Amino acid sequence: MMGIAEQTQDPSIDVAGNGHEDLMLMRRIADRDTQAFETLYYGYAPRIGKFLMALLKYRELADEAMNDTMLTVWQNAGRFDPGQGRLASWLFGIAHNKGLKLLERQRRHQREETLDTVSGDYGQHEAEAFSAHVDVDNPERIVLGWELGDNLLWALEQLTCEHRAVLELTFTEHCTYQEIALITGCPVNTVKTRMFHARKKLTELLALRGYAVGS
Amino acid sequence: MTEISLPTAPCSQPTPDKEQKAPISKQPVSGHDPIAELLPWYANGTLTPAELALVEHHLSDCLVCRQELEQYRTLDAACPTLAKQRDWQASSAHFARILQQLQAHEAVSTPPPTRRHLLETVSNWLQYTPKPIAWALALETITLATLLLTLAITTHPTAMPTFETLSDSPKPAIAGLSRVHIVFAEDITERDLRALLTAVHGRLVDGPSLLGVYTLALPAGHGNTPVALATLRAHARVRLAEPVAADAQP
Ligand SMILES: [Zn+2]
Repeated sequence: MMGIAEQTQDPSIDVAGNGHEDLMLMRRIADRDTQAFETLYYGYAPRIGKFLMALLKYRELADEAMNDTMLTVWQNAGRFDPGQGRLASWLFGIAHNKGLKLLERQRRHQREETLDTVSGDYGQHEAEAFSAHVDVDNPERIVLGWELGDNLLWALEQLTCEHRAVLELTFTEHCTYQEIALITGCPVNTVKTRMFHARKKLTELLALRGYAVGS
Repeated sequence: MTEISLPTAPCSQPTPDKEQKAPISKQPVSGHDPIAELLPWYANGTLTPAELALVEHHLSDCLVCRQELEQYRTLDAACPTLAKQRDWQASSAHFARILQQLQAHEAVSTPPPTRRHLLETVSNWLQYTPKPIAWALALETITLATLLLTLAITTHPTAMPTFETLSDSPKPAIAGLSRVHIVFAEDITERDLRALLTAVHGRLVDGPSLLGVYTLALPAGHGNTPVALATLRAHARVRLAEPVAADAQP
């Protein structure tokens, strides 16, 4: 299904670059080679970390999801099959899964503590699901010094995690829609529908702040 | 970020396109939907040549798609910029924490290897452990354990907690034996290892941990342990030999 993968235009996307090298790296990790694991970490963790930050918003959560991801990679390295897609897709798929699971745990925990209610997608900053993790120094809150950028950041944060994932994988990671389907475990049509709704919500949110995007 | 067009007027209406055919311009043309769905991946440059041709053909006729495409292009320009500003950096400290987590996880999920297995894997395991990290971790853990032990001795002389932070899994002290955590140089030969073990009357009872730490059991009593420790530490192929904290007090 990944026949389109080689069309990826940005050469920086592939760290290892080819399926054979990726496979060799993963076999070494499966053989408990911590040096290979370290290579994988420095090759992919920066991108996966930023992706998890986009998904989970908070450094603390992103770190935890990253640790879960790396643990899973260590334990399942032998299962990587380059015939199924790029190593990046495999890793992002694990990270996406860990991120969503963590989010779910977090929400359940929060409900149990009856701290706050999770508002809809259009909630304000105050409606953040993770008030317990709000860090006033959170770097994501840095004012970009650029109005639309700042508003776009705000609007992205109002979207659901699923919508942010699709946007992030498309426009930051430059994944094909087939790869995104693989990573998120959704049919291609769901990926396309999520993208459509994500864009629609973004334009509505930005309109609330007096902006039109792109036109 | 300058490449992103910033509308100056709030909610500015789309500028009418020159090619716009006035009355029908806001209506999608036939075959619009499947093409509109491809626009995000047209904007990110990952469509197949066949898809690309379809989209480009449709774009020339459909104003709605041209407008949507501008929105996706804005996102395509903005998202990587926003991602770069997200504070997540890889670091050796973080990687070391991950290794520590793996070690803790493996301690509860894998049975300790047999002695024969130990002898076979000693040199090749050590070879794979990133040295600066292994050493930083080992020393840090020892320092912490020593500190905790000192505190425990000075404040609660009768209630001695057990610490075995370097081992795969904490195990109770073995009667008549004292234990030592030991890390060998990567170039130690099996012959060297056997000779050393014979010299101190020791045997390997556990390890290696993820960080390459083995546990060595020595006959206790008669001031034997300090002598054995001195022998171990003096050996050129021993990088670290520390008594297991849990054994420090009978
Ligand atoms: Zn159209």
